[in-house]
Amino acid sequence: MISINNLEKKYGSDTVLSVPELDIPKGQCFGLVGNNGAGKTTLFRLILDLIPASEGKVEIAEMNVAEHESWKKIVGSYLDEHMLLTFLTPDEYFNTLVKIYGLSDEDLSKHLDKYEFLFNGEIRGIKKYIRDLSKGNIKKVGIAAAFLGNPQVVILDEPFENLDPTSQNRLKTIIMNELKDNSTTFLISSHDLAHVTDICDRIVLLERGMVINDLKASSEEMSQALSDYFNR
Amino acid sequence: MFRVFTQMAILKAWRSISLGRNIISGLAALGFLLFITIYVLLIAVFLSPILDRAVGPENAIPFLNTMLVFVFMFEILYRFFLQKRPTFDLVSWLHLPINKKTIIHYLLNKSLLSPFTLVFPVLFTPLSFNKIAPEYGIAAAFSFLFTLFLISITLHWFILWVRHISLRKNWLNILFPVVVLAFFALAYFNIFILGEYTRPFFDATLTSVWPLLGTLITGSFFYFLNLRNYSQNAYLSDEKASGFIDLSSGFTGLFSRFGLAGELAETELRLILRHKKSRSYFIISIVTLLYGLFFYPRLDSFAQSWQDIYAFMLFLGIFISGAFFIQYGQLLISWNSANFDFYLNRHGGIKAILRGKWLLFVAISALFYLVSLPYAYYGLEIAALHTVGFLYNVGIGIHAIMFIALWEPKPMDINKSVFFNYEGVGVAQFLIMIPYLFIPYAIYLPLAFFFNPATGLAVLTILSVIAIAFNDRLLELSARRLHRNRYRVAASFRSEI
Repeated sequence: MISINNLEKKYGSDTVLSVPELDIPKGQCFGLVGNNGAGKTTLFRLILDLIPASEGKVEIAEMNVAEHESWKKIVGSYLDEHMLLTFLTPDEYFNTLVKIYGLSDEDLSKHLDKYEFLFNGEIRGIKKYIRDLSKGNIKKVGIAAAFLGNPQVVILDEPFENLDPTSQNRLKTIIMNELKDNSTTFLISSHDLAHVTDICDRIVLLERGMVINDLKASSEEMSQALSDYFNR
Repeated sequence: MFRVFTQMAILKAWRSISLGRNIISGLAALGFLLFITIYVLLIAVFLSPILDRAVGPENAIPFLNTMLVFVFMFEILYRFFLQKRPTFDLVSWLHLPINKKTIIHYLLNKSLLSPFTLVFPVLFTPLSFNKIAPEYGIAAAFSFLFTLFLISITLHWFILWVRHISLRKNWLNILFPVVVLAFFALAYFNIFILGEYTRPFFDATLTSVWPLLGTLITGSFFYFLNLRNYSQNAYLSDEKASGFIDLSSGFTGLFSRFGLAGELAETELRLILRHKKSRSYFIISIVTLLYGLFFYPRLDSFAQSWQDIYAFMLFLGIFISGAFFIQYGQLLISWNSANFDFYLNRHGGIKAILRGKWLLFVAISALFYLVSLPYAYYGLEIAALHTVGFLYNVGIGIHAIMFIALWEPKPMDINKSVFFNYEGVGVAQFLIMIPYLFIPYAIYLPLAFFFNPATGLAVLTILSVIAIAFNDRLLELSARRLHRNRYRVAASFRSEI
């Protein structure tokens, strides 16, 4: 689904990310972990063509992301609140997206119904601009928006951060259902090792812009390997 | 898609937390615009009578066609300095399934919504129909007018392109205006009159459609050049970790003997040197030092009597040593709007930040005062009056500016350029100069009138020195005011993301 080839990002002479090769097959839940500054967000930004690569390329569904754009129709993403239009209310924002994705109002309300148990009654119909919501609720808006239009790939940066424990578990349920029902490909970065090992069947460990471990094993084994690394 | 973008742009402006301040600054800009519009309208209406009167009715059009290229070069200059590069919140849209090209088309077309676009149609419509239509026919009038309009639009795209190139090649920012000005100079000294070579083009607009088509093609060419440039660069800003130049490390320890306030004065100096807007304020105030050169050599011709001269020299004395804090101090706390909570959070932080600013203002005033002393070459009185002005600034002036600037401070982005940037400007900034200049003259002028100027200056000096003795009390006034309003100020600073 996603293949990375010889990818490098440099600022001046500083190489902040270097990934010679990485393939993420369809339906995989790909977890990305690493300490601050390891390059997780940079990698996601490169995959989404939000910043230009210094070297190499990223392909989504066989399309070079820097040269084509139609891959955006099958990729949903939420990295940070700048990706939202924070001066809209959540409802207005979803309605704007519907126009962009060319969906019907019916599609939208069906979609949002699925997320109502994540929203917990605090998102829809609320008379507040997104910028005035709490960090957790802003995140919920972003996540629900990323799932709009039945994307084949969903990229989430720190989705569990700022969410209350109930919402974290509900989000996990949503992701696992998507994996099972639609074999959606997920790319998820997180500092919460327990959550990532629970839902992901593959975990890549970044350190200073390099892939230093590519784990494909059972939850317990990956848990052990990660805890060894982070408890050094 | 354009409809969605436009709706969002309107909603964003309407719901902006800074709407209030945008309206006030918008009104200021509107006033200026009105002023310019009246000028343009007056020129437009009287252009053909003026030309008739100046070179005779039969020479009017040939003369105009010779001069047009200079009008356009003037347009190039004002567009180069004032036209903004269109911007867009790419980050909110790039991840959505929208063509980048659509976004860029929208961005480019939106940039045409500018008063600059209207200048040429307004300026030349009356002339086209009063003067050209009767002589050359209505078709010629339209052809002439449309060609001028299209050239103006072409220049819009051309300048966007030049500005884009100059992002990488900074020397263009200087070379480009110099080259344009050189053509004016060459024409002025009758060495090379560009207009004579471009006149056939404008003459041809009256008889043929080719100039119009040629301009259209050139304009489209530059439009697509911009389209390509912008599309290729439609990425999130991507400049971290590149070339960090520390301009201010040389100042470390400069204010260290003043404790926390000294530390904050130093921090403020770093803030000034590391942000675009504050840097510009600082540089502008240095240029203000040169004001003396305009006036002092010709002092005799300005004033009728010695009294006027003294009053005026006092003004220059106050203005030159106060140049920095008059400008920078107006927006006193808005400079720190992005991290005001940091100061709120420190023990005694509010007092310390104001004291730090006071220290910095005094230090820079003293520096400017010392640098201005050589003006004494034009008369020793100048040094005396600059001294009075400096003492007034330290004793009273700085406190006056600081106290008023704390009236409803507004947040602002200090990374933006200063041109037509009214962020942070509110009512206080319009009124701030009145008390600042009123106080010294309220003391000086009556005394100078009823006794003599020396008495006026002496009393002003004595009062200033007394004020310096009460410096801490005066600073306390501002600190207490900010402390009282701290919640409101902090909330208004915090709200923008």
